[in-house]
Amino acid sequence: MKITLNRLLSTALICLMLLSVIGTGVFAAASETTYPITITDQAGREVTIEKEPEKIVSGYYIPSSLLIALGLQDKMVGIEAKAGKRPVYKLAAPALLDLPNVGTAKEFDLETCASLSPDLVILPLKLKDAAQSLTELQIPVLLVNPENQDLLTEMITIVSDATNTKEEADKLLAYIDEQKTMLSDALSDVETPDVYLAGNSSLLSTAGEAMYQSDIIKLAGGKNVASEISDTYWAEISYEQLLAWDPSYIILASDADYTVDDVLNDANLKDCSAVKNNQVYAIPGDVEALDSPVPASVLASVWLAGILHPEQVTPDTYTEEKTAFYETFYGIQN
Amino acid sequence: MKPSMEFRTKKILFITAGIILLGILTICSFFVGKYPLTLSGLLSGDALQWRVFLTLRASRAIIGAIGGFVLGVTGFVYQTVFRNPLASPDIIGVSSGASAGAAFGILFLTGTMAITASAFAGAICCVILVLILSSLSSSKDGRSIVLAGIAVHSLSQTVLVCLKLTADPEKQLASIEYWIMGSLNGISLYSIGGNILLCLICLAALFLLYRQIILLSLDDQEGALLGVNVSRIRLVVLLTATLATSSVISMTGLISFLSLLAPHGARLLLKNNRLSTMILSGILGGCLLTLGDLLARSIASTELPVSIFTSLLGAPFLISLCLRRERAR
Amino acid sequence: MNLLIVNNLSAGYAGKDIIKDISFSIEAGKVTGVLGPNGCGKTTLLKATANLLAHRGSCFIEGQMLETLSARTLSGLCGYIPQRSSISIDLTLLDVVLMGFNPDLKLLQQPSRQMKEEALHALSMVGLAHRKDENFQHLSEGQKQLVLLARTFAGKRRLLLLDEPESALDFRLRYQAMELLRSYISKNQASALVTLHDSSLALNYCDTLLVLSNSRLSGIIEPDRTPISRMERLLSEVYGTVSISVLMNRSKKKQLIMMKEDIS
Repeated sequence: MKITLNRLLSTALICLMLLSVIGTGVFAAASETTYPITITDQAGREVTIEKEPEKIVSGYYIPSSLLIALGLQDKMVGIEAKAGKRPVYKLAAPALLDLPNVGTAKEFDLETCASLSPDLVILPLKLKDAAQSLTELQIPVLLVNPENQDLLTEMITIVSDATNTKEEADKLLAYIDEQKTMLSDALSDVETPDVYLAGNSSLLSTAGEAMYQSDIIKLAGGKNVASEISDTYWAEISYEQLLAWDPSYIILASDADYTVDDVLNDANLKDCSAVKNNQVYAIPGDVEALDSPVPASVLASVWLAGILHPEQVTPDTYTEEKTAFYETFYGIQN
Repeated sequence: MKPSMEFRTKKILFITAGIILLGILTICSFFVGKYPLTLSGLLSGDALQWRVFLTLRASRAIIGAIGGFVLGVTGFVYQTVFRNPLASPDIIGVSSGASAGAAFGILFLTGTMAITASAFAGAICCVILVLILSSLSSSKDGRSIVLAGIAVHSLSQTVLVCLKLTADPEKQLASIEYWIMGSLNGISLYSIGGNILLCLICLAALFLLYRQIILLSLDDQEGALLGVNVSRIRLVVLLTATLATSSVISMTGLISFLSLLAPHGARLLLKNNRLSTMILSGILGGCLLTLGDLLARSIASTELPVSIFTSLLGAPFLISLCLRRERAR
Repeated sequence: MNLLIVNNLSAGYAGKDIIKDISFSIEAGKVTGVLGPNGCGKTTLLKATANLLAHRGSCFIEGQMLETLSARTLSGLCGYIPQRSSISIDLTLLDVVLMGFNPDLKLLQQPSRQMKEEALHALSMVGLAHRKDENFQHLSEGQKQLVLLARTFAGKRRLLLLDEPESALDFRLRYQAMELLRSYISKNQASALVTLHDSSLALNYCDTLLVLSNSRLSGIIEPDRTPISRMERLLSEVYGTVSISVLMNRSKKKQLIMMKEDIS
């Protein structure tokens, strides 16, 4: 066959057109979800979502926060109980506080949830049974388990895929990565001081190595004194243990019932370095409890780094980043 | 036909052995703990070591011994006065009242002292309620106290459940459950002074009233015929025992099994109910609690509830005593 | 000299009188028995006298009105022996007998050495001193009753009230108990009021017998003196037709025997 220039040109044109179509398709796949879509949630369940959800229910505060960050608050029709406790709703999406509540992580209100006819329900892993019931009612449920940074990232991906908010998710993930990189770069050479994290219920409850809160400390360039504890839940220790560890810093979980002053005035801790040097701080909770794996959680490490290593990461960095973050993703003006 | 000599030697033997055991356990308790205390450090006068030793280590060991002693003795008193070998502080609402009080403190108050005070108040309120309710009944026998105790126990359990439902499952609920499981954690010199004094006063009163306690084990009529002012003495004895029990469990939480086990152990060993039996109940209680606490704070990297160990240690001991008694028949 | 005087005693439960208008007296050094059918109020009489039951009428012990005495004083004067003791825990015999001293002791006072000796003496009177450190719960019912007797004897009470003591005792112990009672009463010039079932015990060990029937005192018998015909008449009201015979036992002691007669 004679290869004429015409033929070559038309072939090239067709190829280019094909490529552009494929190319757009690829891009479309990256930024648009096509329905129906089957997603594997964090309980390993295969969930099929027929169309883009317009009515979303969240039974857990962490995905609720995520939904706001992804700009989906207007599509929410149900929210977890005791939402009024969390400042972030009032600040970012006050309409959510008027939504019917579907119960707590312990006591889920199946009927209320079903009555809202949602297209998508997001629940914590421990509500597996409720998820089963909802699935039988033909309501798609995604179970999430954001127990650490990796799982948090996974949850963001899963939820954004399900709700066609890839673009927003990418922005969020990029921000988190940026902060993580900033921290690891700035803190690559520092000494890691001993830090003790005191839990919400009492000064003597702490998070061991396996818990998410331990990672906050690590990322901020600190060493968790309780790393020898392998419990996957808050563990009780004694005053003696705390004195034996002698941390240089004590940080209190943001929902703690007791205050920094209570710790500083505790006679039993007179000899603790952190108390002697007045290095006791409370993790900020004015918008959200940053010590739990909410989307903003990386800010906890930024905050802590500002305390542990003020020369490498200034305390102002936290304030600036926090304002920027909440303004960008939550629309909270300061 | 046992001559009295044999009983006396047995009594002295068991009590001496008990005291020695308690002494050894308490001393061990002085040396077990997460803070690296060393004998040389203490002897050289290291101020920090001494502070930790006195405020934390020693006070915990002392509460273990005295608290256990109190629970053993009051268990003996409850079982005798109620003529029920299965009686425990719950028969009069002490434990459930303390739990409800502690839950209230955990939810609505802050600080360990507040929780202790709240638990104590809860226990005392329940006991007073029991005594008021039973005095309203026209029947003059001790049965009305038991019935009132059951009613008040159910009431405080209900209050406790309601409080648990209100509790934040992320933080408060776990605290409540942990308190109910009992622990000597968090006890320091600063928190125990008043409680120990109260315990000692109540113990002294109970030992002085020993003879009356035994008389209360008769039915009300026989007691009255022997000149005992049954209702008044019973009131005094129960209040005293309850004050002592409340002051211990408001600090430690509920320690299961101890009040039930120690008196049984003492009675199985000495085979009667003399003053020495009451003392031995206390000693066994002290040993059990001290040993349980030793294990609770050293076996794992975290603090475990002490009730696990009092039950684990107590049950086989009781079973072995019962088997020995069966074999001896 | 009358140790116990009872005037117009009426008592019962829940508003209904079981005994009505009973009057009698007991002299020092004398044992008075109470006979009557079941449910006629023998125990009620005893309890009312001991002020355990609300009652109408009055009782006087050595001139003092019983109803005005404090429980403590009353228990110091009166020793009550129930049919069964309610002792449910392990106690030594000595401990049980020492309980009897409670009315004499202050609240926190412990029994003195002398009291312990008296307790031992009382136990030896009932023949159980050699077992003083044994467990009360391990005794037979009869032996337990003896210990209760010892408990009352130890306190040297002026008036003894016994509720059917023979019910727990076997044949031999019954007589032994009554002998012990009589010897205590005469030695201490005290008085005893005993409710009895066994007619043989009643007729031969009591100085006086109160016969209760239809809630009232139908008569008082003195086995030594009352004519047989009168005794038979009174007892027939309670037991149906009976006859009483006088026999001699081998030790030449006079015994009264009551026999049931057919209605002819």
